[in-house]
Amino acid sequence: MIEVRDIDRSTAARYLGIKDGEMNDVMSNLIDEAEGLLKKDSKVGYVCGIYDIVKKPEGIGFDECSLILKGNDIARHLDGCEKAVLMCATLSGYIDTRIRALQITNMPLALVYDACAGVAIDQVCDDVQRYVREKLPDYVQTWRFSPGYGDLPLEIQGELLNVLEAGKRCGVSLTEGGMLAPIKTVTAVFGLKPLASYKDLASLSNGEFQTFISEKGGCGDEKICSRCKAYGKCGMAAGKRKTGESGE
Amino acid sequence: MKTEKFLKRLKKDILVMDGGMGTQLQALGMEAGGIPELLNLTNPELITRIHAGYVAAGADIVYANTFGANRKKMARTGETPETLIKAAITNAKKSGAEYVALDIGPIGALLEPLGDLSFEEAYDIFAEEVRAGSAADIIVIETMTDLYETKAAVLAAKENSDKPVIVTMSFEENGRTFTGTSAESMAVTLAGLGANAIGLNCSLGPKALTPIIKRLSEACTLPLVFKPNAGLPDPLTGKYDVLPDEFGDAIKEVLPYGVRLVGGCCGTTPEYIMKVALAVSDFRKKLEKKGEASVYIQRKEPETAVCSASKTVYLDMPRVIGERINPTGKKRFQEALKNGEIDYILNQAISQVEAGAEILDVNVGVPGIDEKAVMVKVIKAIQSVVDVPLQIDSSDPEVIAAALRIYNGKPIVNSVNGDESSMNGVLPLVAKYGAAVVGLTLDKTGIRKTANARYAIAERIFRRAVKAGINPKDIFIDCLTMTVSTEQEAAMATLEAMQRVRLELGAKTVLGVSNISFGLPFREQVTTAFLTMALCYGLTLPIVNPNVESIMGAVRSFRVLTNKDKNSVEYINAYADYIPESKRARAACDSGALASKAASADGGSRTSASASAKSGGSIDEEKFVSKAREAFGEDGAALFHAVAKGIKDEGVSLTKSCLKKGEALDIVNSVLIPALDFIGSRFEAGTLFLPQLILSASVVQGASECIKESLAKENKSAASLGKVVLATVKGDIHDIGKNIVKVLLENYGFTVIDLGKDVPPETVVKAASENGVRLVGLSALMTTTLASMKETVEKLREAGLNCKVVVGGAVLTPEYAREIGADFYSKDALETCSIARKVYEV
Repeated sequence: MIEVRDIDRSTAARYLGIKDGEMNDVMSNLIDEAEGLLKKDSKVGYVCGIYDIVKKPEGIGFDECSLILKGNDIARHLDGCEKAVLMCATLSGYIDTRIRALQITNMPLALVYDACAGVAIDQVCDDVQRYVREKLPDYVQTWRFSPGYGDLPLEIQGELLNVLEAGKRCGVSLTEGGMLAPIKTVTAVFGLKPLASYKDLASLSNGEFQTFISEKGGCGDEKICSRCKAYGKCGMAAGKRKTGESGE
Repeated sequence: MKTEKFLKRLKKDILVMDGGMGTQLQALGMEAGGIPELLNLTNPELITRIHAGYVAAGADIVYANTFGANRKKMARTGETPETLIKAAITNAKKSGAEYVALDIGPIGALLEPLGDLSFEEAYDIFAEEVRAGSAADIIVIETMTDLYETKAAVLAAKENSDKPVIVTMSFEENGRTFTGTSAESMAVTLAGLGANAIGLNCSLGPKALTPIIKRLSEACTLPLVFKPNAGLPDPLTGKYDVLPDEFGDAIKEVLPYGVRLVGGCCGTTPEYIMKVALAVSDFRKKLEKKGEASVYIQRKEPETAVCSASKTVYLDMPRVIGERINPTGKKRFQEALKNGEIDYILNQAISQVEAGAEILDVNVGVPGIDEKAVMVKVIKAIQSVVDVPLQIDSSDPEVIAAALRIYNGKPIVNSVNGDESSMNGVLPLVAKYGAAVVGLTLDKTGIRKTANARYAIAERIFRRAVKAGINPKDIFIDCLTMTVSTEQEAAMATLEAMQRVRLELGAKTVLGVSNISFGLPFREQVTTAFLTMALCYGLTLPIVNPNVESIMGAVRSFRVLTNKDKNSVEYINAYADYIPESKRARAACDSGALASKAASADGGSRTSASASAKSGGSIDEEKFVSKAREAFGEDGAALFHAVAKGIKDEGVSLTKSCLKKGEALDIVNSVLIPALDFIGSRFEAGTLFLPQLILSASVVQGASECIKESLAKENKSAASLGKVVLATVKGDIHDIGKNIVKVLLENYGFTVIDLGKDVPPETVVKAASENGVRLVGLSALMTTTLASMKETVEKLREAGLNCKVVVGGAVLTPEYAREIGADFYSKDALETCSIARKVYEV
C-alpha cells in the first residue's frame, strides 16, 4: 500500500523559495506542522495500466487501448521502449478541503501545506514507479512524462483518465477547464525499455546512460565505470544489486 | 402495477441482479477507453446477448447499458443520451429479464467544491437521463462516490418519474467513499430523500465490503443492495482476484443483514451470478423453513440523526448547535453579510467547530440583502470547509426550499411555528427533502406565557408535521427562552413546557439558551446555570456560543454525569491539557510584558530585532518602527514587533490597547502599514519567505478586524483606499495565489471584491463596472486557462471601462501580459500591492 511518507525537506524548501542553508525555525516548524496534517489527510489513490507500444501514423498508440499520444517529445521519450505504463495518482480531495480551510484560518500554513502536498504527490508517483519496478525487474524505466510537457497536448488528459477508469478507481476527474481534480493529482506516462537492450552501455547517449544507472544503481561494467563515476553512482555492479533498491 | 409488485417483493423476497457489463465487453474485445454505450446502436445483438447470459444465470434484474449515457460523457460520440438510452432499454428488454433498470452512473466530472460542476447542472444532466429512460422498470443510481452528486441524481429521479429508485455507492476499505462520504451519512440522507433501497457496489470484493453493509444495516431500515466487485483489481493488470465459488460463499454471509437485491459488479460474469442465485435460493429455503425473524438479523429503527456528507451526528445525547452565524444584534456581522465577506463567516464557522460545536445554525437574515441567494452561497461555502451538519435558520419558505435543495446531507430546518401559513409553507419542504425540523411554540397570537399553552402549540405542530409525512423522530420542539430580567417567571415555564414535550410527545427539544441572560451583568453565569437546568429538563439541542468555555463545560460535564460520554473519553480529550483561565491570563500578561520590553530595548539600544534585521540585508528597522512609537508609545512599538514576528494573539490585544490611546486610522498608518513595509522589504531582500510575509499579514488581518469591530460599534466603517476586483479566471480552480494577493491588499487598506475561482469574463466585467473600480487583478495557474485570461482582458476593454488590469500567476510572463493587453504584470503579491497603490495614487 502506498502512503504519504516523510516529506523531502530540500524539495519542500525549494518549492517555497527557500535557498540552500537559509531555512529558519519559523519555516521549519511550519513544514513540520504541514507534514503532520498531510499524513493525516491524505488518502492515496492510484491506478496504472501497462500497455505494449504500437507506433501509429498519428502518434504513439497502445495495444487494446484507445489512447494516442501525439507530439515529437513523447515519441522521443518512449524511443526504444517496448511497453509504457499509464498512471494516475492522487492524494484525494481531503487535501483540497484542508487547503480551503487553512486559507481562512492560517494562510501561512496553507501555503506551506500546499507546497508540501506538491512534494508528497511526487513521492507517491516515485513509489508507483518503484512498485512497477518490483513487478517488472527486467525493464529500465524512463522518467515520468506528463500531459503538457513539451509538445504532448494537455487535451489528452481526459482520454488518459478514461482509459485508466480513474474516476472509478481513484476518484479523479477533469474539470471543464481541463484541470485535474482533486488538486494534488498527477497523470503521467513512463516507458519500459528491456534491460537486454542496454547491452552496449558504452554507446548510450548521456541521457540514456543516466537513466540506466539511476535505475540500476550502477553500470556493473568495469570498462565504463569511469563514466558511471561522473554521476556519483559508481561501484555498484548492476548484476549484484537487487533491483528495486536503485539509487533514488 | 409493476412498480408496486417490485416494491412488494423488495419487502419480502430477495432479487438477483446481473453482473459486470464492462468486464464482459472487454472480454469480447472492447479496447480500454472504448465507449460501451455506443454498442447499444452499433451492436445491439451483442448487448442483448450479454444481458441474456445473466438472465440465464438467474438474474431477475438487468441493468441497461446506460451507465455513462449522460450528455457530458457522450458529447464526443455525437449521439444524444436519449437515443442511446432508448436503444439500451430495448436491448435489455429483449433479454427476457423480469425487470430492466435504467442504470445511472456518475457524470464523470466532480461537483463543487472539489470540481467545477454545479449541483444544478448535475441535476439537469440526470433529469435528462431519467426522462429518456421512461421505458425502464426501475431506476438504479450506482457507483457513486459523492453524496452531493447522488442527491442531485435522486432528486432528478424522484421529480421526473415515479419509478422505484435504488442507490448504491462505492466505498473504500476505510469505510468512506473517495470524497469522504460515510456509510451513515449515505443512509441518513438517502432514507430522507425517499430512496427505495440503498447499498454498495463496485470498488472492493464481497468480503471487504461486508463490514460496510453491516454499518448500512444499522444506520437505516431500508432494503439493502449488495453488488461487489470480484475482489480488488491488480493495480497493474486490472485482473480481479475472487473466484465465483468464493464470491457465492461471501454473498451468503451478507444476506441476513437485510440485503434484498444482490448481484455483482466489475470482474463478475454469469458464472458468478449463477453462484449468487444459488446462494439466494439456499437462503430462500431457510427463510421458508425458519421464518424471517430467525433468518434475518433484527434491524432496529436507528437513533435520530442529522448529517453532512462525511459526518453523522446522532441525537442520543445533548448536542451543541453553534449560534454565532447570525447577524441579529451584531453590526460587524451585518456589515460582512452586506459586503459579501464570506471569509468572515467561514472564520466563525471554523472557530465554533474547533470549540466543540457539533451542528452550526446558519442565519443570514439581514434587511437589504437577497436572503435566498446569500443563504445558498453561505451554506455551500461552509460545507466546503467544515464537516458538521447545519441548521438552516430562516422563516421564509423560499429561502428554506433553496437551502434544502443544495444542502449536502440531512440538515435541520429552524423553523416552523404553529401558525397555519408557516406550517403550510415549511412542513411539505421538510418532508420532501427528508430534513429534521424545529417547531417554535408560538403562533400568530404570539408567545404564550404558560407551559400548558406552549405545549398545546407543540402538539399541534407535531401532529401536522407527522401528517405532512415527516418522520416523528425528526420533529424537534423549541419551547422558547424568554429574557429572565424582564419576565422572571418565564424561565420555569419554558422548562416545564419542554419537560412535557419530552415526556408526552417524546420529541427532541431545541432551545436558544443565550437569550435568558440578556440585560443582566455577568451574563455567562446565568446562561450556564439555565443551560444546566434545561439539560436536566430534557433539552437535546442547546443553541449556544461554543466559544464560551463554561457553556461547553456544562454540556460536556452533563454528558459525563448522565453516563452518555462513556468512560469520559470526550471530556478527557477536551480537557486533558486544560490550563485554568487565570493562569493563561498571567502567562499572556508575562509575554505581553516581554514583547513590550523587547520593543523598548530595540528602541533604546537596537539590539535583537535590528540585529536580525541587519543579518537580513541591513534593513533599518528603526526607520520603520519610530512612527509607531511616536504615535502609540511602547504599545505601538510592541504591535509593530508583533506584526514583524507574526504573533497573532498579541497583535489583537496590542491593537485593543492602542485603540484606547488614539484613532483607529492612526494605528493603520503609523503602525500596521510601516510594519508591513518593513516585512515587505525583508521579503524583497530575500531574507524572509512568503509564508512568513503572510504570517505577518495575518497579524495585520487580526488587528484590522479588531479595528473594524471597534468602528462598527460607533456606527463607522474603516476608510478604504479603493476597491479592487480580484478573480481567478474561467477554467482555473487553483486560487491560493489570488487569495494571498487579497490578504495583502486588504492589509494595505484596499477593499477587495473577491469573485473567487473559475470566474467567467462577463462576471469580471459586471463587477468592475458596478463597483467602478480602477484596478482589476486576474490570476491563472495553467497554460490552458491563459486563453480565458486573454478573453477577460478583451471583454474589459470592449466594455470601455476605465480600469487598469494587473495579471499574475505561475505560468505568466511579462511578455505574455503585454501581448494580451494587460496594463501590469505582477511577479508576486507584494508587487500587486505597489501597483494598486500606484493606480490609486496612495
